Amino acid sequence: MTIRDEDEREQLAAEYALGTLEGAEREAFARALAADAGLAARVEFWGRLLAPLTEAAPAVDPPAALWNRIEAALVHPASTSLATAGWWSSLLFWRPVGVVGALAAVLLALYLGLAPPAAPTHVAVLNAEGSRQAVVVTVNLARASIAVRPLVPFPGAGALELWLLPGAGAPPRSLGLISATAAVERKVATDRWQGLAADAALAVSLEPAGGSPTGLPTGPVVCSGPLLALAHR
Amino acid sequence: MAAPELAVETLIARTALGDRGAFQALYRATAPRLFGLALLVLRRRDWAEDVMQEAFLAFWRRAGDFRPERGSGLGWMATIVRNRAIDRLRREPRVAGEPDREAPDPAPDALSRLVQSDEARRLAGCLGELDEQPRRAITLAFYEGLSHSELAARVGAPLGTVKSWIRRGLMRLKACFEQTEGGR
Repeated sequence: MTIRDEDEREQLAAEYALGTLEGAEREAFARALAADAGLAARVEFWGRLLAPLTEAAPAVDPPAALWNRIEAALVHPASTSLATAGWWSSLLFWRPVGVVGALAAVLLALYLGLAPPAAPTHVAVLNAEGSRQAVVVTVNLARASIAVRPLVPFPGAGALELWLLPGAGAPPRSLGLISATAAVERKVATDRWQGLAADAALAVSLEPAGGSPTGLPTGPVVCSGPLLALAHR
Repeated sequence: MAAPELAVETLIARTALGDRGAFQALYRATAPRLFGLALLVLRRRDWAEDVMQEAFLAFWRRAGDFRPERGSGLGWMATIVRNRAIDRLRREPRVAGEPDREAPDPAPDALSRLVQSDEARRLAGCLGELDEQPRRAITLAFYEGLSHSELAARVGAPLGTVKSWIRRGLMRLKACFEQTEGGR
């Protein structure tokens, strides 16, 4: 549906923002909205105009468990209706941690003395907000090797599987199981590393013994971080 | 304990950088107001909790979309919570005549409580210029999440009449708003 009449557009946008549209009319408008940026801007305008009304709403303490639900859904968004294509498909989910981690990654790698001697091409610090968990991963594409170094031992049971998220929405690729405590260096087939996008990331998920049975992550993500290319000059 | 209280806008900006501590502080600072709003509109605790969870996941992912020059952080968050509550209601309307025992005070005197921000004062001023019926229809629709037909049943007026109150009221509100703002 395309709504052409300007007055009609404005009125429907206002009623949609107020929330009074219903039934088929509301559905038709929502469809039109998805394909019409101008219409979306009008709905946004009306939302902003009406927003101060929310200031008069009473304050009611939510149950304490609500925050726990929200926090759990952040770590494992597949359990919510928002993540329909699997948690890994939402690279937006990974990126925020990365912004914070980016500088730390480079500093840590330098601190650990990994950068010059091993001449890695990429580095990543995987972490999880709210925990001390951190893993430093250095990658040397020329040698097709990867070094994984947990700074803090992982607690608990289960297999830890390392994943490459190539970015640009491509599905994760397994880089194999890692140790909960020990540093590991090993070869990784070069084809695993093809087609890295600028938003490539690494993540560790908790999997059944022996690793994910499906070839894609099945368990919760315990830490993640962006894969940063190191410039050599 | 004595950590200084950061503005909601600052907490949103830090959340956009992936700072989970800031996100939790944002939740603590805003959840009671947002939950009260969700409960007011939905009048069901379980639905209000679902909507809060959806909304906070959206805040976590989309904090970077917030534009401080377009209004307050709490207003932005409240609009998202309310939109999701309305979506829920339109998908699955409340049963007519359902008791309201879980609803908080439905703010019959909402206008007089709208004194907190400059924007709220301006909007209250513009609402005050509307005729009684459009003003009542718009505030009822806003706070109780009523649709056109629910509103008609509620105030005992024909559907067409209620629709025209809403339309007329909203367009006058906009004219008043743009006058006081000097355009959008």
